[in-house]
Amino acid sequence: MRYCASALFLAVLISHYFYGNAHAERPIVPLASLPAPVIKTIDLGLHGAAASLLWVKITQDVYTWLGENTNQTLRSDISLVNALDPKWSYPYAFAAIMLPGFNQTKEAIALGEAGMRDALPDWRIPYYLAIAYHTDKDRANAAKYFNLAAETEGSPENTKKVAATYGTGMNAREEMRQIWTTIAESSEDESVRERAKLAIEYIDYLDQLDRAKAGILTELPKNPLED
Amino acid sequence: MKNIFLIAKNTFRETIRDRILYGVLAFAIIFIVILFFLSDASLGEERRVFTSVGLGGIYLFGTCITIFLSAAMIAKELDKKTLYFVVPRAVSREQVIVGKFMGLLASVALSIFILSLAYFAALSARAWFAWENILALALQILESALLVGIIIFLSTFLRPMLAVLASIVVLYAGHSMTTLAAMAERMSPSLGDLALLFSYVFPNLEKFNMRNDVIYGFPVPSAEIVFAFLYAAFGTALALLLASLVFKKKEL
Amino acid sequence: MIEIKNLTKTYGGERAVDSLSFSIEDGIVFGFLGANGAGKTTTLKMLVGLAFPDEGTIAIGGGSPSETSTREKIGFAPETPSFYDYLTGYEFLEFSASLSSRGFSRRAAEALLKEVGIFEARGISIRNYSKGMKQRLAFAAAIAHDPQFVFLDEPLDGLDPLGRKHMKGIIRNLKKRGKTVFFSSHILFDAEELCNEIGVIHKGKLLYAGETKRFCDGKRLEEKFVEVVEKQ
Repeated sequence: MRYCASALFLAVLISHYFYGNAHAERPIVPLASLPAPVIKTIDLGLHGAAASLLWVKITQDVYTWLGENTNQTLRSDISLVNALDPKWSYPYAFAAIMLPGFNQTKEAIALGEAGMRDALPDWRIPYYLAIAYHTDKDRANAAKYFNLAAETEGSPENTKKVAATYGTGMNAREEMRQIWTTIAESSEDESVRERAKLAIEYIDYLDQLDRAKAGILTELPKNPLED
Repeated sequence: MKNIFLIAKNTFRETIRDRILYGVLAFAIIFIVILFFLSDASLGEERRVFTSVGLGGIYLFGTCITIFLSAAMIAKELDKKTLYFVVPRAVSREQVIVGKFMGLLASVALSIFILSLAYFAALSARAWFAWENILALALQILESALLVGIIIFLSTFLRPMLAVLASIVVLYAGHSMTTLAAMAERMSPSLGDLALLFSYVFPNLEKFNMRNDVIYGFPVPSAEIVFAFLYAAFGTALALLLASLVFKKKEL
Repeated sequence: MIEIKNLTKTYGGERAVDSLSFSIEDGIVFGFLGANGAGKTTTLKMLVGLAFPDEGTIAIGGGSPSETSTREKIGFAPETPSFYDYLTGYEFLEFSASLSSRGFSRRAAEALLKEVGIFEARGISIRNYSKGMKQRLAFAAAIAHDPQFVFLDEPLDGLDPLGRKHMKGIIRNLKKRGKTVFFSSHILFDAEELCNEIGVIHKGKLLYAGETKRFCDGKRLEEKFVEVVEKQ
């Protein structure tokens, strides 16, 4: 009996090994999300926990999406989190700051506005929403929300500076650097800090290009190819 | 009273020695470890994720213990006829029901307490502890009391598997009634009225759900807590009374 | 005194117990005899309040078994007893003895455990007891509170010959102390040895109730029993 059991165990190990070799990676069909009313009916009142677990799923997926520069379900997943726990502010803010990076600025604004309406007061919602509006070239709403962010309790000092200087004719690049620096310094979210860092690096890169251009023009005031 | 206490003590001893506590302790440790991983993956929302999933996990596990322990205990008594040593004695059938209830509730409360201790320790380690957590767990124990009463009642006339299924239906109905009533109201006023009627007839367990308030630090009005307590007390008393009436007529 | 008048119980249209009437004086060891399925256990269950008669009355010490004051005087050991597995023998006896106004005494419990022969196993979980040990524990639990009326359902079932001798000795002691012992059995040899009086039940009907000697009429009890039952 012992030899039989050992032989069977060995057979299991071998088949496991060869299965692994034979298995070809196939794309995984994303798990379809249940509608919020269905989840609310079956979650035994644990809406907060359900929202949190879905949020953790989003945080795991977002790095993949950032890497592939696509997102399959970020907007709908965040909408579901919001539907399960409308008072939870951060998912709205997260949507407002992250979705424009996936060319979903209008969706970002819609979720940000929903957060302003439904969530508990959190300076990050109006601040990130203002950035979304700025990305959408709606400076009037951007200014409005920067001001709201500055007035919200708990907002960092930098938000007041940004609200005061936004739209006053300040150098656009400096303006954006200030905006993204506030986020980089205040956010506890690694992915948002990454996004802010990238934006600041982009601005720095543009500055470098300008300096390089200025240097070339000093050396060669006239384009030699024009002669 | 003496007989009730004796039966309760006996039931408690029997349940606790059924190694359930070891399972609870093991789960508590695994659960807390998982919680740390989950909250660390939450992009700056660690406290919120830890609290919501922590309280949710304690609720789910505590409710599983409540249902399976209660249904199994009564089923065992009736099937294995351990009650043959109790019922022929100078003990009324009402005393048997109340004693069983108190013993089971003590076991369930102890299990929830152990889970809570592990959770509180983890919260305190990260300086996240808030007194409202104790309120949320106290209300969970009240809900468990009501559930134990209902399960004892169901077990007096249903087979164990059916009693478990019926308890799960009561549990889901108790928590989803508010959502379903709102949906019914949107569909038609008469359906809304019917749903409202159901929400009064069926045990409404959402009264004991203060978890969201704990997550956001909302103060809970004392009146709500008082009425939740009264609801649990009267509901449990009604369930035990019905159980006694059925049990009184039951031939063993 | 135990008085039973026109006791009837029907299950699913069939009369399990059919108009039983007899009485038992105090201090008697009464053997309630019958084949398997004759109605012995059903009758016993009605006597101790586990089941309810459809017709007829039961009076034990002048009171009905549905009253808790009557059940204060009753001790009962079921056939094939089931216990709370995780309690020890001592804990179970403590629990059983405490369910009476008499209360629990450690000394008395230990003496009783010695008397039934499981004192050495008192600290062991009941789930580790043998069938015979459980039978002895059931017996001890039935008499722990010193009841006036002791009801035993197949008390010697599952015991080895030494155990049977032991338990019969305890039953005789109970009788000496003036207790009324009502036990059901299908082992007629034991009944012949122990019982002053017997009742014979067959298919729910009482065939005989009275003195053992008078029933036997010079024959062995088993022989006479088979003769009487086969005539039905």
